[in-house]
Amino acid sequence: MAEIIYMTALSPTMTEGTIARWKKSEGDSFASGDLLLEVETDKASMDYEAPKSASLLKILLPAGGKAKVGDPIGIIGKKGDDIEGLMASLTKKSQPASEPETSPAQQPATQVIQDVSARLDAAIESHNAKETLPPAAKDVFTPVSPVSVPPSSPLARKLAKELGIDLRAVKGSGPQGRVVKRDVETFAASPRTQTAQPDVLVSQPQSAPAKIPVSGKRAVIARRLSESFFTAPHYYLKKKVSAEKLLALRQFSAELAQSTEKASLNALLMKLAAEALKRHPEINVHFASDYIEQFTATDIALAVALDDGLITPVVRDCANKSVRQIDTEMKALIEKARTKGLAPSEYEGGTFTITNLGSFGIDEFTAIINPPGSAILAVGAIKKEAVPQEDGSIGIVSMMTLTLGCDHRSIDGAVGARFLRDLALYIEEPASVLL
Amino acid sequence: MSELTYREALNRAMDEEMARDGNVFIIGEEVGEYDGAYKVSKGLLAKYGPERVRDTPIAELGFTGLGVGAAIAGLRPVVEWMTHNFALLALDQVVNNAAKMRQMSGGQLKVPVVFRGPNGPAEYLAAQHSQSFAAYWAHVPGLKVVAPATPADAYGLLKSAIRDDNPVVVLEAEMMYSWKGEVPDHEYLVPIGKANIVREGSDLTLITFSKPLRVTLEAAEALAQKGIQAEVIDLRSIRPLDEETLYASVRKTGRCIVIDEAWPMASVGSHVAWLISKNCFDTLDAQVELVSGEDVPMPYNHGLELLAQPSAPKIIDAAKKVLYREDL
Repeated sequence: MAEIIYMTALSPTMTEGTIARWKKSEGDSFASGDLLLEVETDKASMDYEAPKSASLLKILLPAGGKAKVGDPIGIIGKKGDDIEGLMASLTKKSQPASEPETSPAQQPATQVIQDVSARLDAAIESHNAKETLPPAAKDVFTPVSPVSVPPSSPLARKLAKELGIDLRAVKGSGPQGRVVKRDVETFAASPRTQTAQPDVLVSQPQSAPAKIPVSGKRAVIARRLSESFFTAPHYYLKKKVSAEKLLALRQFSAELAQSTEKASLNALLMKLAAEALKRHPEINVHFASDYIEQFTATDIALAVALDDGLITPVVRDCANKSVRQIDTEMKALIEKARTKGLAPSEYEGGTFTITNLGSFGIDEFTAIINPPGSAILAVGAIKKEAVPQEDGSIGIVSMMTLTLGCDHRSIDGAVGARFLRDLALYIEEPASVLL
Repeated sequence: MSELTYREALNRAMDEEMARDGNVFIIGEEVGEYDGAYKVSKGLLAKYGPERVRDTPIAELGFTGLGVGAAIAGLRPVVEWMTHNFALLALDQVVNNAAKMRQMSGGQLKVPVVFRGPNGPAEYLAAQHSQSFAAYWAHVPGLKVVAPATPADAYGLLKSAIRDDNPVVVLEAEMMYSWKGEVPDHEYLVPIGKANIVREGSDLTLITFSKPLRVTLEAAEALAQKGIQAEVIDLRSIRPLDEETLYASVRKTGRCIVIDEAWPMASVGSHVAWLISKNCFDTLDAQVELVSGEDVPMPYNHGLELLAQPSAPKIIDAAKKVLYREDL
């Protein structure tokens, strides 16, 4: 059945938006979540995602057009759906009132919305005060389309009430824009909501602990890492390696490129780890309960700390890329993570993960495996140490500690040890990768 | 533990109850000389004799009434209907006599009778013999209605039904008679009025009873592959209904699909869906969905016959709606 889509509040403070561009043409079909159009709001250009899988039957407001939140902007539905009835109902509503100050039916739709909204607020206030609904409030429930209060599930309403969220500011992802539980949760977790309602924290008594809302991202980190840590039996192998030749190679990378920019240590480690994985495919696996999935590509994830939490951008197929390529791709991914945020395809599916806390001066640490991979390499800081040399003298050597965390369900100790032994060799003698 | 068919589990329950209580007897079409139309009473004529395993003419109203009368007179009859489709002829005896006598006699009379037989569609039996009448019995106060979906429950619930002092209707299924399952070797009863959480989950609740439990579990497994944890509840007892178990689950998951192979209008499934909508209203994140048999007389064509019944894909389609996930 064809249905109207409306301008929705894409930010809590948005009251109207300008259509920057339609990303679909009339007749195009799309899947739920696809980018349907871009809207310029008071703050920024926002993506308007398709609320469901359907086809764009009619663009009511072309690019450049301005619409208040709640105004119709297009019609979606199945190809061939009859839209004349909807079009007629819109024409009727959008006709300017012939005589101002007449019945609500002849007022412009937005005016009706505001009236209804105001009356609803008044009714709720009055209801709260007297615990009974005044007779005037009955009119509030007369169906008016488009309504300013979006349809919502009972659970979403209950949750919104508990969290003190105005449902009208929440974008619904259910049918006909229904606000459901996940929408309220996402809204509550968005940083904008937190800045918009600072009084929640301020009004806490001094002695009460502050309750920091768990963001959507934090919830994902919590769930994924708990799942990994509590299902995969972890064990750790530790090895100290000389980083001398690795540092020399880094220096050489700049000389080779005739620039001052050295390849990053992480890119070098990703490349060497990929080479080691190529020779030890038994590490590049995922334990899937009734079988073990062996990956053909070496897609290496790097743990990156952002202000709002951890993310693991993935460089695909590292074994077949140069250090420079890996470095360039990873830097671009990190930049995107900081500014626009990564798409799931850019941070999911790492077959092996590297995490490096060397820049914080951490000597060594253990890490939690990042599924679907079965192993994670934790890299400590490079520090100069006094090391006995072959000839009995004491040398000052740049050393670094590697800690390999493995899922024992798929990787036995000896298997992990062979891998780490070889990876250590490649780090100490990078040229051995060529031999 | 032994692996028994559903048929063997029912047979063991009747055998044990007949041995335990001399008042228990079986009556119905082909229950004796033929060992039962579906062999549920196999061997019982030989073991207990024609006094206690009575073949009857093809006269449902007559022998059902005989069972009701015998129960009032102090015996514990197990009336076998060859199928619930034929039991329509006996509705008056069940509804107006069995279900009423205890109340109308001010508690002076008891009616400890069991009515049992296969219910719901099987295969290639066409419109008149492929019907689920669960709601017909569940509608009537004064009756108890149970619907075991596994051999273990078939054994335990039939024994409880025989020992109950009220008339109990047992819904079995022709397709299930040969299904196997683990049954404890020791004697036990499954209490009437307790639902069973067959599979625990946190994302949505699937409520069903009788034969559709199998497709419901298939759907739950398929959903689990996509990371959706469905809680599956087998009602086991339709009247009385274990409402609290249902509400506790839906209050946890916020989403509910009811699966019932009967027609959708005024069915056990539609009633349960209404109860959930009413009693879990504030915790629902989506409308309660009902996956029912299609609202048509059963087609004879086998392809259409399968399409007219609940299936795992239909349940998954409903799950997409209540989870607001089109990607499943």
